[in-house]
Amino acid sequence: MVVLAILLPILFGALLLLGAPRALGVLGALASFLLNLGLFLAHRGSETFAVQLPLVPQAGVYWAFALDGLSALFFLTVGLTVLLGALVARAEGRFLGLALFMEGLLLGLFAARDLLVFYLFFEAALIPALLMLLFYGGEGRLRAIYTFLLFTLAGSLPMLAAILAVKALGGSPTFLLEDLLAHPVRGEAAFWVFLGFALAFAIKTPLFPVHAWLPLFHRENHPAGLADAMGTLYKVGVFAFFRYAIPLAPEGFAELQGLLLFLAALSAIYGAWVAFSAPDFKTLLAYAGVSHMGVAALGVFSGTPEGALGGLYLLAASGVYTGGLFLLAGRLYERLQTLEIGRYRGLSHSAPGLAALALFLFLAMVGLPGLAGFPGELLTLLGAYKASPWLAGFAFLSVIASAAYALTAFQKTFWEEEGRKVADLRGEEWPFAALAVLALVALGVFPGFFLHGLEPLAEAFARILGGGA
Amino acid sequence: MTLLVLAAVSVVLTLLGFFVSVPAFKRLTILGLSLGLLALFATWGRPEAFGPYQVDGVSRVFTLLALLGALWTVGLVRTRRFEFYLLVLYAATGMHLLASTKHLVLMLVALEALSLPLYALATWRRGAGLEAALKYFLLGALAAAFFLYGTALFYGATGSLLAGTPGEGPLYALAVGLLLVGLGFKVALAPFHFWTPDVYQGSPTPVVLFMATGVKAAAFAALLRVVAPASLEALPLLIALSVLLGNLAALSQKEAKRLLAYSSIAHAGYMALALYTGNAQALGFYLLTYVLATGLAFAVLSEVSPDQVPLESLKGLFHKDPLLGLGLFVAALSLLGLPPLAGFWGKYLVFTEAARAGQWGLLVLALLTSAVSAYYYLGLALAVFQKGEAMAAPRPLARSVAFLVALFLLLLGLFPGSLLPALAAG
Amino acid sequence: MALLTTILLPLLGFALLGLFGKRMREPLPGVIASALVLASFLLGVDLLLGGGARFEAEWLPGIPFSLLLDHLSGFMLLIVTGVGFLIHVYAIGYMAGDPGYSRFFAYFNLFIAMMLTLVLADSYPVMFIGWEGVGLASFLLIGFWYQNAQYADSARKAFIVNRIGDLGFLLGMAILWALYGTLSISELKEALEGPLKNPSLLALAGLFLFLGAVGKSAQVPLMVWLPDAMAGPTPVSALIHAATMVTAGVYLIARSSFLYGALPEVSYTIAVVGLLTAFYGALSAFGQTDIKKIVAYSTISQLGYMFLAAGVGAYWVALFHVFTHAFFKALLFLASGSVIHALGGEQDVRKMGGLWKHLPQTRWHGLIGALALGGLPLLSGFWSKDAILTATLTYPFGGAGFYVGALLVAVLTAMYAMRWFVLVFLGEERGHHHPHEAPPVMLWPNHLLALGSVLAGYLALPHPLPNLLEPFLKPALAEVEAHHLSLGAEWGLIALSALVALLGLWLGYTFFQRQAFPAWYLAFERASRESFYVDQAYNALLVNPLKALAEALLQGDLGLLRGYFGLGGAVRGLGQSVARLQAGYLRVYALLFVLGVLVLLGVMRW
Repeated sequence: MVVLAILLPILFGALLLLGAPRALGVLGALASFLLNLGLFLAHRGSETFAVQLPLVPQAGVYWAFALDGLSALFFLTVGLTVLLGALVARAEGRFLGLALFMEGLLLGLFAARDLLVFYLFFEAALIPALLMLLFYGGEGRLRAIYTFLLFTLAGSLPMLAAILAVKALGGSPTFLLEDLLAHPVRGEAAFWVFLGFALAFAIKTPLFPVHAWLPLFHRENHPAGLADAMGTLYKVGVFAFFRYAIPLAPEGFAELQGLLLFLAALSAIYGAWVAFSAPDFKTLLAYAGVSHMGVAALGVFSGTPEGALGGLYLLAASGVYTGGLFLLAGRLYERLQTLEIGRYRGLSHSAPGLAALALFLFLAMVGLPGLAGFPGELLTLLGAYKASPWLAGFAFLSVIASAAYALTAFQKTFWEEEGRKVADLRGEEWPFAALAVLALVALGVFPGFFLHGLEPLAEAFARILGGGA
Repeated sequence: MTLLVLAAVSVVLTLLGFFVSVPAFKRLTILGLSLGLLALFATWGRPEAFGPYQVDGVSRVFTLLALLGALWTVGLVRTRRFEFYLLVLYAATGMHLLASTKHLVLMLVALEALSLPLYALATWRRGAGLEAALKYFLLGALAAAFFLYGTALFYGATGSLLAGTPGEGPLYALAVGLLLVGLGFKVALAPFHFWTPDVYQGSPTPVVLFMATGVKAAAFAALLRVVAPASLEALPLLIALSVLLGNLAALSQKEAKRLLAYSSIAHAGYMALALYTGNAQALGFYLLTYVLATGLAFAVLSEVSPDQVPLESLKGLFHKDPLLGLGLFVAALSLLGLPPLAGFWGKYLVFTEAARAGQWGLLVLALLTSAVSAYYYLGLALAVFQKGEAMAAPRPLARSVAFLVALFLLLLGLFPGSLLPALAAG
Repeated sequence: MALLTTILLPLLGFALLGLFGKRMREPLPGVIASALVLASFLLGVDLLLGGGARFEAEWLPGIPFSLLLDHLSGFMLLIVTGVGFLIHVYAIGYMAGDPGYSRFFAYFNLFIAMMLTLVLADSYPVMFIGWEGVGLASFLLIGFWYQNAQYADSARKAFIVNRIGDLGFLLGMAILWALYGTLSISELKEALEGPLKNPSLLALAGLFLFLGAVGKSAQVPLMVWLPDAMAGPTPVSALIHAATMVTAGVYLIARSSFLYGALPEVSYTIAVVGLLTAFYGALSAFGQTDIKKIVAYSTISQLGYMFLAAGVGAYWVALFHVFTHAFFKALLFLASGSVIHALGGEQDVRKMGGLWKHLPQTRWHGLIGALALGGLPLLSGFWSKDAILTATLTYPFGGAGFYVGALLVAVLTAMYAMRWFVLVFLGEERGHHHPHEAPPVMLWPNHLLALGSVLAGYLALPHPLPNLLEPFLKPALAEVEAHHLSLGAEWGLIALSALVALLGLWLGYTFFQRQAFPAWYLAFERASRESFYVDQAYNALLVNPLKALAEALLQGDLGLLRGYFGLGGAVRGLGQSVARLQAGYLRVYALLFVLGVLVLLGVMRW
């Protein structure tokens, strides 16, 4: 089933790339979401739907996938975000095809139970992201492509060395996660191995100061926001820290924990602060993303079960609301031909529905209780405080800063004197809005339901680090 | 068996050359090379020996690669003179021989047998090509001299002319070092790579394809036999220099063939990582992906122009001819080693060998430089998508081959495990 | 479940009106909203009579969604829904004809739902849902007339300043979680019964939670948002920014009395902050010219009183004042609203005056409100204020200094209350309006509130007269031992405060009817009008530097990217120089070749 879930969007993506009509893509996104939803409901907390086929058995590499609480959650949010994108992004069929392609690769990334297979998907997902930027990006896209690719590879290629080292030095017979976990790397080597992972995942989190690629990436992507939403989903650093880097080299993590906590806290406050003066929506969302991922990373780096839960939940939820906001920015662009904040004001007068949706998404982003962002933030704080009270306090100054940038952007766009009449929600924007609001409320009100399958994983994670219950 | 076929075909065609038309001759050459391949497959997995001529797994795999390169070259070239095909045939025969012996003297003979036709091929176009070929020839002579001297010292140190004979002491080390110089020149390891950019740029593209694929394959087979058993301290230096110089110098290149020349230097460095453990399977796989990818790149370039190909002139290729454009795109990404393309597995396998040998410093350097290489490979890959007026008059066959090879690179990347046992069986 | 329904009813109203309100005709949305709040009120009464209720559902790992209706939360529930209902009804008239009519009631219902969540929560994170929820509702309602950029700014300011307090709330929760592994209020209460685990850290937690209260209840130094919050429609000011939401901070302290009762130093801090705020609010009220802002500053000042009471340990007294204050302050605001309504939107008291003869009903509302605020003996404000004054002497964390300070504030309060009344209703007419009395739908709530302003104080009369409130609330609050004053001392103090109140009222009544004021007063008034330049100082010292830094950081971040480009350029440059070795000269190649061989041989271990 998992393999089917991975292949389904890839199949639809391929059809669209070959010229199938856009409607088929929407259908594909819907089918994929429903399948993922079914998988989420079907999994029972433990690992299910495990698959293991030889890839390079000589080298101990297997096509190994399984669904556990963590991957099931991401299946759900990825499927949802892609569906949201498919619904509203005014993208031609091939564009949507690339997005679906990327969805499949991301699902593979989340479901992988083999380190090398994870790496394969981690790298392969670059290609559709690059192509979306290349074919549909803005004027300065070449520079953005180079930056994006070089940053990613500068991290992921050293990571390959770490991957090889994990197996070679830990003495595991295969790259299967269970085998690797049974043979963690010890001693001085653990430090280097972890460093290799950490660089790659820090870039993909992204943490300050290796976040510099992100604003450029978003600025140059197509204004419809589909590619940005996919890019948001692609920020899997926090997930990867939790699932791979830290458990595989816990001793290395222990040595770097202080630094990482500091960088995460710095990213959290720095991103939110910079976002305040962002001139356009995409820049704003890019820096807001840096801030959120900083908070999420802080949770995982805390090494506590609640922190890890919070960080991962924040990561999953941020895919939905940040992705949704990028898509919403796309809707604004279609109406105004600009993403500049404050260029036109008072849109609430003519488009109250749009304004309400924007407010919903913004509030979810700033962590308003009852919406998707809050459970993750709260748990992160509770965990992070245990690990480092000072840094937790420092990082959570972003609570104030995020309110500042989000409400300022909202006010300058939707409030004040009417600057221009625009159309309110229409056509396919209605299901988009309904689905987004429903999802954000569900994620905010029933976090326990979504986190249920994750708790044992978080406990195990904390146990590896010598803490937890 | 294979040697017999190749030699026989060469002789027969030499005679026939004066009687049949050039297109027919081309077909005959392809037939001959295919016969060679057939002979290779017919005996796959069964070692055979005839004195110092020994066909084993290494020999078969690397000969296969060399013959593939030769076939491709022949298929691509557009020439009205039958000598071109003959020279390729001779060189292919030499390559097979080089890949199939442990005897150092025979190796030297084979080396010359493959080099001399190549010198001639490099001069195929007059002008700049001639100058480059001359450099190639003179430096090659120098390298051959070192190889010869190394052979003599090897005999002095071990009392044997068979590569892989264990030995020790300064004399032995010196001998192996000099042999490494001779072969390192052929595969373009730094600092013996100086001929490469000039020759790649100056020679006709099909010839370059042949140099980049066939010669590398054959010479690496020899390196496997000569250097791998000796565990040389100088090897890390050569590898480090190759990956650094190759990748860094490629960054500022504006001409595709010269760029690929530097890339081939870097790849030689990566391949040499496998020499630590002498894992023919890993090296063979790497070479296979390299031959396919770089061959594909040169094949596309030769459809654009048999001459120099500035990156500028590639712009718009995708819009002009999507298949060729995609082909170059896939080739570049595979050379870069981006999953899910086959190039990734090649890199992965040789890096694993380096890891097994504990060469972590070298490994990290190799990986960092391949991150650097992303810059110029991307330049190559993205040029085809940009707006521009690329000229291309591709032949249908070239397009379908390009498509098939690109597809194969992708499939091989998805199912690398399916081919590895065959390589191991040899 | 029934308990949850009290919250769900107004929430349903929010959803219903938010989605379909536009299609309803006036006054249907207002009626629906009011009815739902009334239903909530009745349900609450029913549950309270039934002895309280509990509700628990799964929410976050280790943190259930738990609600508790005990006497304390029940008391607040009644204030919120009761006063809330009256103000809803008032708004039916006040908002009539506004294009955002249904939107207003949607927000209003949202506010009630969130406030009930806050009040009923039995765990801090659940309380935090309501805490931020009421902040959101407040934001939406302050910015209700969002086309006015200044109003929109005020809304944003309120939310952001509140968020500073919210951060404190969050950090307080983090500490409690780290110490006790639970955030359930009931469980924490039990856990804190024994000796304290880590008193200094616990004190920090208490301070952080108090920071949250400071933000929500507009205490010094986070009081700057409340006066601006008057940008919202007047019913909003009455309900949210006077009667209910801003008292949430006091409720938080009372709810956490088990914590603060064990932390004398923190309690002392609370009392000091409360007294400071009481002074600040009272002094700032003198210079205001906006009819609502005078009342707003009086709210700040009265909230200070409540914190003073909570700080000295008299939690029930603080709640008593919350109760009486809800009536007379709501009344004052709604009377102001009626005045504004009567004058067609005029809010400047300098253009009012002489309305006594035009507004035959509202004038009594205004008078009762002002007198109750000023502490006229026998009105509700008198009893609760007096209880606070006494508490500063009888409760363990109090002291004579607090008493004197509070007494001074009482004089000031009486004076500015009369200033408000005099400027609005007495003297000559200074504007050119044609005042008309409000419609019955706006008057009736005020009648009831006026009644409450008179009678609410009789719920808790000083010893030995009956005191119903204290024993009612006692079980839900921490036990703080107060020593009793002798009967004579107690009634002597009552007489003193009555005298002081009368003196203040008389002073205010006469002083503000003068035509000319002494120079010292004018100087004071100027400073007071600017609220003693706190806003300006914050802008200059905090807000503007932070904004400028944000701009600088954005530029810096672009610089960072350029730095990476530079790094890339350097590598490329290196490549160029390497490529330059490839000069094309054979002799160079040969030389390098041989050199290479030598180096290669040189690095070997011989």
